[in-house]
Amino acid sequence: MIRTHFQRKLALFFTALVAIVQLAAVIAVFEATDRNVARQVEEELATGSRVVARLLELRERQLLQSVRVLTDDFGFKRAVATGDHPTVRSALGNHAARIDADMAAVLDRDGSVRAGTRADLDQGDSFPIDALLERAIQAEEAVGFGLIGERAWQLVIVPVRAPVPVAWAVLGFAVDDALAGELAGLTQAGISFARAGEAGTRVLATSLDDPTLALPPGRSGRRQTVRTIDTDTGRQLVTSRQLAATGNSQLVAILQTPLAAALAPYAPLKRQLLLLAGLALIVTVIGAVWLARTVSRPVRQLGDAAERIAAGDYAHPVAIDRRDEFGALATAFNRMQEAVREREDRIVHQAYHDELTGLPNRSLMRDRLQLEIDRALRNGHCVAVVVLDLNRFKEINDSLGHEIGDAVLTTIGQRLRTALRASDTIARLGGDEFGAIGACADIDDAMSLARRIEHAWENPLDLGPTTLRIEKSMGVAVYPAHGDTVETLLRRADIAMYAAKGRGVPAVLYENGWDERHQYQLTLVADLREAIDGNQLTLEYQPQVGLRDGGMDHVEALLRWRHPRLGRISPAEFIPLAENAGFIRSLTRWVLGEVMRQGGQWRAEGMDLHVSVNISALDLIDDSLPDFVATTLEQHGVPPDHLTLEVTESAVMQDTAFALRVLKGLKATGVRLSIDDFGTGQSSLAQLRRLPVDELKIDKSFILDLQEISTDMSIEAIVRSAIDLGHNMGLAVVAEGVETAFSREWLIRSDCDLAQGFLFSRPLAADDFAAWVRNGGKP
Amino acid sequence: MTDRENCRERSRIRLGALGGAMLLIAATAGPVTATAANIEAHVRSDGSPVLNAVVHATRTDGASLPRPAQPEAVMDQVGREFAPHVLPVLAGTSVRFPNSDDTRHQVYSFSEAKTFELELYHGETARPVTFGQRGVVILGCNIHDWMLGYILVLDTPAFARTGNNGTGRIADLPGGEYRVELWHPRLVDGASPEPRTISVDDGATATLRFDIDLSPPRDRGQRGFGGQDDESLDEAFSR
Repeated sequence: MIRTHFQRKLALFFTALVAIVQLAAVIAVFEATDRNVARQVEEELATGSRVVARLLELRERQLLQSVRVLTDDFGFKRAVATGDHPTVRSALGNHAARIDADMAAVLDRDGSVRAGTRADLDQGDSFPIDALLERAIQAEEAVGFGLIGERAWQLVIVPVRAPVPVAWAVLGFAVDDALAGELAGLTQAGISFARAGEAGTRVLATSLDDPTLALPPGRSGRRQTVRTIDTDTGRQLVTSRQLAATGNSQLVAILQTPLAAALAPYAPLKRQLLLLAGLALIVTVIGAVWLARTVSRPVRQLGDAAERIAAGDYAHPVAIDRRDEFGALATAFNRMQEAVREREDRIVHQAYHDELTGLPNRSLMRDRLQLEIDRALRNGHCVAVVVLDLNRFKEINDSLGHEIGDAVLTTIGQRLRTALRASDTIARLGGDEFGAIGACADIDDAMSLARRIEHAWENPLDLGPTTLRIEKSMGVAVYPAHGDTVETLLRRADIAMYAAKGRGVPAVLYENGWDERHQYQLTLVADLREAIDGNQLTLEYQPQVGLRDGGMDHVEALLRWRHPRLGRISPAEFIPLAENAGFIRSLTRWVLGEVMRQGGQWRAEGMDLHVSVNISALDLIDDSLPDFVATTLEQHGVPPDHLTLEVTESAVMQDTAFALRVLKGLKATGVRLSIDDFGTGQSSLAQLRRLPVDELKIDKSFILDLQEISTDMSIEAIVRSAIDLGHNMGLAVVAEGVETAFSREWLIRSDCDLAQGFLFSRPLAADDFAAWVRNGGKP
Repeated sequence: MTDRENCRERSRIRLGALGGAMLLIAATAGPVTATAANIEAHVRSDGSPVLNAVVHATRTDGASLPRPAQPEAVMDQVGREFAPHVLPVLAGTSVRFPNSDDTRHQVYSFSEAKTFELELYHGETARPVTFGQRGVVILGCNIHDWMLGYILVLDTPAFARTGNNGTGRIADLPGGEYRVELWHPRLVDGASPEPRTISVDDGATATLRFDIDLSPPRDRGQRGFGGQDDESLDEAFSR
């Protein structure tokens, strides 16, 4: 996590900073302490050295004064002078005890011991401390240090006068461990006395527990120096003082202090310092963590808020009530969240609403429909879906302009909104298509929604300068009867809408099966495009037999489609689909080309045949068709009057000037024109008269009704009238659907020109038809 | 302090008076006759006349010299010094120790020739001491340690002590041959020079010359009474 990382970094930084400062402070204090202690110890040693010197001096004076008292005593003088040794000895002992002297003696003038307090001063021995004695002889008295055996002494030697010097009195303190201990107590240093010579240093007395711990005195100089020596037991400071020197050996006092001992009193201080530093560090860590959290918490909150916003939740503002930058950031963040929400609302509104009318768009309609479906599913009611399409809106747009078109759409939107209940949804699905959703009690109630919409159409549209009446077609589908998904319902409503449009009624309720059929037709349309290239299309030929002469030189070409999967598909089925899909033009041209190729082929084979073929009503809006026909006829060497183009009556009656122009164009190429299915359309004679046609083809429904035993005599009258009408207008008349001998005979009697039907032959493949012709009308 | 200064003033006066008394004694001790022989010794050390050297003579033939019946001598104490510093006497001489100072003295000697003590005394109260055995008797005073005097006890009555001029004269001897010896307290190692033999005729004066080596004098001073002594005490302490 980035958050943790940052927090840790921040905490670490502060902790490290304080730790370094603490460390530096501790080191500095420790260093300063050690240095100060070392200096202090150094000074103490120097002082101690002076104290030792002073103390030894005081002892010397004590000795001197004491020995003078002794030698001034007349009794002592007398005892010495008279050789009263017991008295002398007792006097010596008594006097030594007074000052705790360790030794007292009387020497002869030549230095031999006359009497002494110590056993090692045998009577008669020469006093061992020759140098001192020599000095006494020179200067009448002497004080100083000397060695007797392995023991050092501080001695005074003064003469015993009676009144001339008759002997020497000697008084001395032993330089022993006790003395060293006493001095150590005064100086707080380890005191050792040692004889230092070329042979090395020999410790004579020491206050130390172990004489071997005594440090070497170093090179004794005048200047008193303190040296630092690292020993096994730690660092020690040492200084020395020369007490006596003879020849190359000297008696020195050594003062030494272990630094550790001097530092010992500072140990608690150091511990406290370390403790304080540790505490400070802990406090710092806590503080740093706290600070890091203080900083990172609002950052985390902001991060969480950002993720919330990313997830689309704008409801909760960031709650950071602070006066610092984070507070300002949170405020800015909340403002941003508000702005983002507003913008998103606007964008969403745009995404779900139609800009022109302000109505929900198709997307929102889907959503609402889904909601309604869900609700209906729970509550068990129905949902009516209406798809509404304005009729001929394109014409309004084209003729009156887009502004009027937009005004129409806007006004209708407003009307619809007013007309519907608040719980209903009205949407603009695109172009001139609107949709509506409304809850309904049952499928019978579904049409009430369409009826409510109808109310919006009661008055013509008031568009300011003009008023306009525009019709619409509505398809209605109902959940759950017609489907349970949004897509299905919308599609089926759409299908119903097209049904309404096709029927020319305001509204149509979807009926089950339409959709499947629609889907089937869509499949067929798609397959039909491949059918031409895939040789799935063929032509069959059905003879049209001359009723007067039995001639077999007329034939109608019929289009056949063998679907690879669905088998034979009726032209009645796929031709309208091709027409609706705008595919009829190429289909017609393929058929025409094939027919003329076959016609040319037969002609080359010596068969002079007139071939009829159907064209679509939609072919009549193709003004390039006449040229195509002429070119193709010429290409295959077919005389134009050998080709008859059949157009249904309804197609030619539908008007129009354009179709008529195409018909005339075709007529001009020299082909014959025939009105197919005559009798089913509401053609007027006036219209019929204007058409450049050559033939009437009576619809087979009439011919099939010509029964031998007929209850309805009007059929015969109608057919006969139609035949008469054709003939009167100079048209040939063809009867279709001739299946019985009766109808053939009847048609012959009625003077019909040509007859076509199963009585003569069913439609045949080209080769079969040729064989049928050659066979004289027999299979 | 004022007491000490007063004392010093007084002792100076007494010293002057004593010098006159000594001269008087010398004059009476050696009466000069025209017929007698005299021995005169000139004692020098490093060319300087030596004071307080004692010359004494005995006849080489062993003949005794006339001696007084009750010989007496005086060792005075003047200015806290023995006066004279050296007193030669004939064995058997009774020596008086008058005290001319205003302080008491306690004169003693631990010498083999004569060991004695005179308890604290004042003026003429001390009993005389007879020195029968020949030898050197070193005198001290138990009160004043620096006081040092010598009594040289001799077998012969013929002796003389040198004065400041280093000359000692033994007078009124019968003519003859004499063995002359010399003693001084500061002879190096206590060794006297070789005795001299000299003949002297009546009415004549034989002159001898002694050159001796002496130890340097030890002026121990009078302790407790002068700044100088105090200084030496301080020197002792400061050593």
